[in-house]
Amino acid sequence: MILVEITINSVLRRISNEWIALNYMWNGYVASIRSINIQLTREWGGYAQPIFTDISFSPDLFESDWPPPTSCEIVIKTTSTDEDDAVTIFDGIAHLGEYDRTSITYDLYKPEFDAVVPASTAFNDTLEACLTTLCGATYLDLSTDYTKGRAVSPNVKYTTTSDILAIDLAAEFCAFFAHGFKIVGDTLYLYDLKLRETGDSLTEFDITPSGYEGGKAVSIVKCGNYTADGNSPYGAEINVGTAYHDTQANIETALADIVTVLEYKKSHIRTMITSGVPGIFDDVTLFDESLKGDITANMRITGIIYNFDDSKMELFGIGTIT
Amino acid sequence: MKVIAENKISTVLANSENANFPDDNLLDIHPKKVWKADATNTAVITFEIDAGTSGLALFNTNARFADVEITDANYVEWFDGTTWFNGTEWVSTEVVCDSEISQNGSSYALWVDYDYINSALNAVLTLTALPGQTLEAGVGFSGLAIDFKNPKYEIKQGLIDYSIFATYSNGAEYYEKKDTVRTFSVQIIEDRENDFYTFMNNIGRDVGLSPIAWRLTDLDSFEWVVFARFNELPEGNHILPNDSSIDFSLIEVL
Repeated sequence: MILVEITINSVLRRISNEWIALNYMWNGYVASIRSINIQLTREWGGYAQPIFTDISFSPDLFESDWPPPTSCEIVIKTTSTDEDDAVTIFDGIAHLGEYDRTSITYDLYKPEFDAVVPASTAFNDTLEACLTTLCGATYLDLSTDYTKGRAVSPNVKYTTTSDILAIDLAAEFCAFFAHGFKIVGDTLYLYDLKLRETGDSLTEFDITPSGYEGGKAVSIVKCGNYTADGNSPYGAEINVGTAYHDTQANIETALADIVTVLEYKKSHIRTMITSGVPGIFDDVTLFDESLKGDITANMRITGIIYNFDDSKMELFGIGTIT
Repeated sequence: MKVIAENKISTVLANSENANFPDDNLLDIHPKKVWKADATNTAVITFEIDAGTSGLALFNTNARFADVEITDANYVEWFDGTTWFNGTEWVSTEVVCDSEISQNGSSYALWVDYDYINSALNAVLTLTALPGQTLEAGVGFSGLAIDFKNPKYEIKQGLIDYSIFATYSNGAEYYEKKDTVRTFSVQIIEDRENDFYTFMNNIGRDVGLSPIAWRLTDLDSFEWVVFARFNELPEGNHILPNDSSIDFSLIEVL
């Protein structure tokens, strides 16, 4: 179930997609919530940013606050038990969209990271050190957690050519070096997309029929004059854009890492939203005996679609399949 | 069969209340929006009710025992044979009530009939749940209990399950239990004048698809006290010049 805390005209209201008495009464005024996606800035890394669309309420929610206010602070959580186990998936602003006789729809907006890194700002340090700079009080003002980063953090060497949002620059740095990050609360968590750890095991008792893909067919990954070959000469030619180092060896290593990430096998796991389901960047080992032959998929989750109306979720993972 | 189509409860006061589940929740039309006592299994609820009532219902409660006392608005008790100033003779303070089990787990519904009283009154309910439980209740509903004939047999009763179901890859099944509600589909045969028109106009037209209180039979222990709405508005047949049938179906509300 989802738990929604919405502040309407300075009054906190607790609502849900069902009528449920937990520690508090959660009134079933949530008519529907469109799916929520979490996806990386680029296919090979970057910022795992939640993409929200809108949420619709019963008009009864605004019985004493009519007409509906233009904007409200809103926190959306999910839980399968009670408030104590609830996980926040959205904390931002709801802006009044369309409303009619049967429903009130609000568009969802995250607070923007609007700090700008000015042109001619030089970065010449490890990726983690550069992220620490970008997460400083001058820019993103976030704590950092690099425990899932690469053992030897790659070097960044880059001078900005124009003003750029700090969050976008952090995403570009990470993508170029095949890393991803998520922001939970006030902390940025960094993940090396080349790595996988032993995670929770999923079996056929945890998933509905799921799909798998071979790795992306990559012929070459390019960045300026530098390239890294993929294993599929017939495959796509991918240009990653800006190089965030100026040394050939460093760039080509980064490109080879991108090839590795792109060529990882992929899984499209469909399951139900229950307690303990994987989150973004979690590692899972999936045993699937429902195919022609058994497979074991070791996956790092790099994309999620939540569908709360059906209590279902889709997990997109990269890794190995044997 | 009895139907309370209009709720005349004006205020409610419980002598015990969890601040997160206030007693005003009893006046909300969603039975699952419950009032909860403050960590006790017994409490007293007082409904202040406007004039013109003859029935009281309480839905979605875990109370297993109920003592109901009907008093005048100043809490003066009406004893057997006491004559009110306007000459109306009032019923005993010990109102006969039926407690009916609903299908939602440990949820119960209470229905109280009393003689028509055309002045404001108070209904004082002393409710007790099983030891160890926290007393709670969903909707209080009081008004004129309009009397109709009991439904004709066959009476259809079913369930709607709002649970989530999926099939896993190996054929195993995922089932997340959500609420289940009852459905009823019945036919009553009434005098065209006036009961048919009373049902079609005072209930069908005036209430529409809003949930109201139903006691589908006057017989005891049929467990057909239900807070429900029409699935579709009722439909009638004038089968004889003075007799008409009415078909309608109900869905219990959450």
